[in-house]
Amino acid sequence: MRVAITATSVALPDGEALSPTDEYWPLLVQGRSLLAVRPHTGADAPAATLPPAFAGRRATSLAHFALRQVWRMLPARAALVIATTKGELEPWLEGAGGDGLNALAAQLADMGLKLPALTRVVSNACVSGAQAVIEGLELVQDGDADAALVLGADALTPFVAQGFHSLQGDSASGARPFDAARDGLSLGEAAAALLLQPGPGPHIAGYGASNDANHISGPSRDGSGLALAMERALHGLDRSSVVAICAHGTGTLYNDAMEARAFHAAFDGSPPPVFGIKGAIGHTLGAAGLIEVIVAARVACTGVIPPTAGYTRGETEYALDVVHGAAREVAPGLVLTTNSGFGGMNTAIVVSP
Amino acid sequence: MTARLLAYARISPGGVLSALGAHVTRKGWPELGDVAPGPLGLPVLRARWFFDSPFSKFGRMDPLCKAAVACSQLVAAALPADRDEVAQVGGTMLGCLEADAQFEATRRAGNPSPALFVYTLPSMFQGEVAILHRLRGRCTLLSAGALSGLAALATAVRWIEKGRARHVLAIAADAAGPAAQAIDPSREPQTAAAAWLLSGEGGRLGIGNVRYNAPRGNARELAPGSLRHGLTFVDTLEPLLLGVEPGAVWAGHGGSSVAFDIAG
Repeated sequence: MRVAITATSVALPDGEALSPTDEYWPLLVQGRSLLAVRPHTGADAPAATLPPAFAGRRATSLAHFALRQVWRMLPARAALVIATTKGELEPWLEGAGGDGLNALAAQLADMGLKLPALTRVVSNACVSGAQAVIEGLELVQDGDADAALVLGADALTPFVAQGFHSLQGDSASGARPFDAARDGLSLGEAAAALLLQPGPGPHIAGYGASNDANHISGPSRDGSGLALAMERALHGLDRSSVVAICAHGTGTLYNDAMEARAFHAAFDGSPPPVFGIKGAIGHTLGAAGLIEVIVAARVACTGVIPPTAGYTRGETEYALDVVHGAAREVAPGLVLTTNSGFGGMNTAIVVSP
Repeated sequence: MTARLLAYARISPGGVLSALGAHVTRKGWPELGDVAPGPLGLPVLRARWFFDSPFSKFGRMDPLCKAAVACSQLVAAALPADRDEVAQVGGTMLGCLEADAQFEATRRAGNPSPALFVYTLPSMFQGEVAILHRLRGRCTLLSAGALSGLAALATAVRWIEKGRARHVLAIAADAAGPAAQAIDPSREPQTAAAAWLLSGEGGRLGIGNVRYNAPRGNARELAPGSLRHGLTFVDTLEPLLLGVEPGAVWAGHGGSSVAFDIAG
């Protein structure tokens, strides 16, 4: 069964407001970066970046904003798959209750959304968004639902910001995915929604997942785990038809090096052009993989590959053709998007126009 | 294709149970050591109770990971040789709430602990299980309230039925202690985990025909059991699996339900 991506929405806080839900695309194509407006570095979470009305329920507010336009398109027999790493953490941090993962769904219901009976949370670290897309796709393929609404949301809280800082995983100057001088990630916050339904349109042509079985918080050095996920995703597909890779590209030393190795392994040393969006919007955790599937679908359909914000000069070992400086136009075609996360999780999804 | 159950295990306040084929072993905590329940409703788990060789990392894991990893070890003898083809599905209702609270305490004290932060993701137990047993298959963690454990089992069954995985280790785990009680004082401290190892062939029984939100019909209804949180229906399913009682089973909670068939 061909399951198409029939609607998408991305909510990004931009300074004091939320961007319109399709504003992400011109932002990426023009090579702009929200990190310049809102550098997420250091130990402290940034000052409030959401309108005051949203204060205290950031993940829910972002999610609700992302869902507004898509929600009315839901058929009666739909599934809701929520991707998040921490759910709605803020009330809990403030001592006001809430069970993390499930609190996000509960608060969306409190805001008047009648959640489908088939609602579930997928939480697999930084591959949560991609895993939720796969979960939604399979629920539709299996006939459990006529459509799957996949929602990804995570807020940038002091809990998360200081946690990554304690791991020395954050950049002092902003994420530079695949750049030779990269020094860490920049956190972001976002929500995104994607509707999957049988029918024509851009669709998931392949997917795969794997575990490194190597280290609890670091990527495997040889990239074999991600390569395994890509092998599974590309099985039966013509690899020469892959026009671009939307990489996880966190900007950390080890993740990006691991990905470069995996790309070379999967494409016999000649991977297609690579780009990443985390230099533009930061690492949005549970929303990241979902946003990257949405961006991959846009690239697959338009052939326009956004430049990789933050990148200027790459590595010589396992060198990649990283799109940077300006957008590049290619023929529309398959786009591979990859994610990796703590716990050795890897995903690879191929989007077709 | 029906998913076949190769092995089952459970760790709970009542003790430890493992079922490999027809061989069922039950041990109470006093048999494993002179232990009393800790603040999370279980004794502090010791590596030597589950592993033949020293496993120093076990002691550094959070309680959720310890319970899940120990439970995985109880079914490890039935794991197939090709570990690249063993997938994982996890189910949890509360996730890493207790680890969150521990990390948050260090953060508020001005000294956020990186060692604790690593465990503030609900899927970390799957990472530890993957490392321990070298499992490189696909890996998903689901949370669906009180149905979390059954959702994990049902998804694992589906993966086998649809050819999405050759073997699946499904683990349901929840750890509830001071943090869970701070949110809801009526919650009793309780940590538990259950593991099902499924494959396309072998085993004493099959599980198939998963249905979400379908009418109960003539299916046997699972009541909430003595285990809480995401394992409450796992608890009442257990005797049906151990007794190889064929028939349809159904569990519902909060307007959602899951059903499947058990076959000999």
